Amino acid sequence: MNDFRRGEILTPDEPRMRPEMVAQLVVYLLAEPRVAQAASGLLAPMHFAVEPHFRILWERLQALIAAYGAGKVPYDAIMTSVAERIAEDPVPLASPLQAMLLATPDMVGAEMFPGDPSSLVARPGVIHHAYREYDPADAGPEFGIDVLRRFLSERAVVDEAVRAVSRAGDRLPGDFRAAIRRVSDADARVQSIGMPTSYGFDSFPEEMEPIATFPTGVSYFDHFLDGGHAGGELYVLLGPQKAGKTFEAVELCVGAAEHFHATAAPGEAPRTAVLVTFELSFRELRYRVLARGADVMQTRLAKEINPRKGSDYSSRGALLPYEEEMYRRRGLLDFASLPGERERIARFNETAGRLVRVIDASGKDGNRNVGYGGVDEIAGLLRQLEAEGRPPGLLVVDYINKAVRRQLGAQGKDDDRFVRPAILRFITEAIDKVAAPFDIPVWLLQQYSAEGQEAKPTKKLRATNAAEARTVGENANAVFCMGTRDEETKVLRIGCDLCRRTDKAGQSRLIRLDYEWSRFRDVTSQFDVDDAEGVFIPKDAAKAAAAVDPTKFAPPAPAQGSPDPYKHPAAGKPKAGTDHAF
Amino acid sequence: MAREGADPVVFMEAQFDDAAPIPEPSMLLSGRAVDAFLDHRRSGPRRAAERLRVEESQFLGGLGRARGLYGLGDDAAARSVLLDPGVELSPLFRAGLADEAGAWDLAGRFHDAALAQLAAGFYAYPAGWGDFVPAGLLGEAIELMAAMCGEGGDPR
Repeated sequence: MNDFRRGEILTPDEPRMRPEMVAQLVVYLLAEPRVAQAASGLLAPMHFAVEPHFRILWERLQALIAAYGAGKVPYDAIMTSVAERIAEDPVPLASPLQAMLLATPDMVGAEMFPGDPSSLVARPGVIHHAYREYDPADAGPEFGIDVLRRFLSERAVVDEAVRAVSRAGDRLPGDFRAAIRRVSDADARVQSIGMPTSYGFDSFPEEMEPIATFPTGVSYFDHFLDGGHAGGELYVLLGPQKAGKTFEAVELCVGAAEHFHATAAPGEAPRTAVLVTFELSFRELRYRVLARGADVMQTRLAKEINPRKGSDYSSRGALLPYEEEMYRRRGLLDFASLPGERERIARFNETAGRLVRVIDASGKDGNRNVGYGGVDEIAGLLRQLEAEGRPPGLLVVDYINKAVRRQLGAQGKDDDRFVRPAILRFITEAIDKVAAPFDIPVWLLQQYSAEGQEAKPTKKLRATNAAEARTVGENANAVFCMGTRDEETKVLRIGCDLCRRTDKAGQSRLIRLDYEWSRFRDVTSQFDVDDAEGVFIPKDAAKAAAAVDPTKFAPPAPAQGSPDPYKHPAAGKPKAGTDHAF
Repeated sequence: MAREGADPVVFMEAQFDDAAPIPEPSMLLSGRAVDAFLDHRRSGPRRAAERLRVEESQFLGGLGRARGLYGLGDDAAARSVLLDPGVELSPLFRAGLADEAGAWDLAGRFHDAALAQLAAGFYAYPAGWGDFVPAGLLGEAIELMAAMCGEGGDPR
């Protein structure tokens, strides 16, 4: 049973600042323009609640700085102004406190106000100290900034948090969350004190380095992003329902995991690609991951392999026709030595597969414990993975709308008017709480509004077509827009609507989902765009072969294999399936 | 247009290229269109270099998969990636890498498509890909372009 009083600090991080230290801070405010500038906007008179004399001084100093400029307030002006302010105050300031402000060396040893023994001056006041005795060589402005930071951490952050908790009493008031957010913002601002507020071009940028990217594993994203995604960046991928956004998510995760596996430094824990799924469950996703990662046909995984019904994975020496065709196309003909489904899945599990982690926030499969906490919850789960020795290297969230609706629902706010601000907050928080602190690329998937869902396949959709929030691109480093699918050819357009790092905004590619292998293929060189009809028309093979231009970025046409060789003659004994780790 | 440095023939070809809209007659004479085309030509080598980088990463990704998933040795893995139509590599990249590795049979397999690609982007690939373009293929492309431009014509 806890018996502490609400609002009481049980184990403070550090002791509270001593009065001498506060006085020292005031000297810095008077003497060091940098400290005064850093304090302006953050240090409020109310922070000197227990030092009313310093509250008066800071009030007057701020007014005089506005008139004269920081560091240029004359000694006489501040002395006069403070004295006048004290005289005006309806509540008289105690004599010792007045002395602490205004006493001069000639008053030392005497009573500042004759007949008032409490006004006996032991040392000159802070104004005299700052103007006449302060020597920057003793401890420069950096030390002053540190003192200010510590003072504000105490008064603007800790005290403010204590007040919020005290106000809460036995019940949490409606504005408790807002108060906590204010405290959190204040903390971030306090920690930023001393950082430059403006930057110039007066020195050669020796330390500038190109942004480190790593390949996405998806050729058109690598093209749009000039080589790949980068830590700290946030990308939004928009697509209509059923366009294949989740396939893209899987491709990004497996591509990243393959890269992490290939580049892991010896002795270091390789990074992990994390997919947070609010739509499909892990059970539904794993087929796609294995199809993409282990080259096992998705139909086989989803429909054919069922140990209980007597069909099983193929294995080395007993390949299926689709596997023989797959190897043949790659020039691999020694079928007896090549791995079957079982070996490929096992190999994937041992390598890149273990670096893909799915957080199932779908609420399906009986798991309703995750997905209600928004970005904070995701950041917490990433920290947990990090603690388990799986440092995150990529985050993909599928998709924002569901994540936000789930969170709002848990707060009893599942109302359309809350969704838009919540989506925008989700994006900014994903940058501040995940992309930046973990230094990883973050991909957020989102759907279109009804208008975007119904657009013609050839229409270049934009970030402004996003569902609920037309400004999703405001804080993103790049926004990619998948178009609607042409039902005849199954082709869709994917465009780069915005990219702050490259010059690829406005470019688009034509892609087609290869469902069996859980990946999109770039088919730009194989199709023409008929804007009038709103469809994509296959080119003849000869033109497709000739239409290769660096600016068009056209890969060769994949061989058009008949689906027949992939048909599986289901056979074999029942064996255990894959577990939940890839 | 020629005075501005844009070859009318190539400009026309570019207008009818796969992704460009069919030009209106006025577009052919438009100064803005000529500027856009010249910019397109000027940025060609840079874009080609970017494409090479993307293809390299595609190749390395495929190589890692072939080695890891199929347990292939380096040479066999590289061959399987170059032959795999599912890996998004251009014929010129395939031919160039095969040529560099001395896999003449593979280089020959992609020769014609690579030559067509090189000729179509002749202003871009040699500058953007440098030595990655096989010398023999480059010589053939120069001959081909010279023949297309007429005797004494500058293929670039």
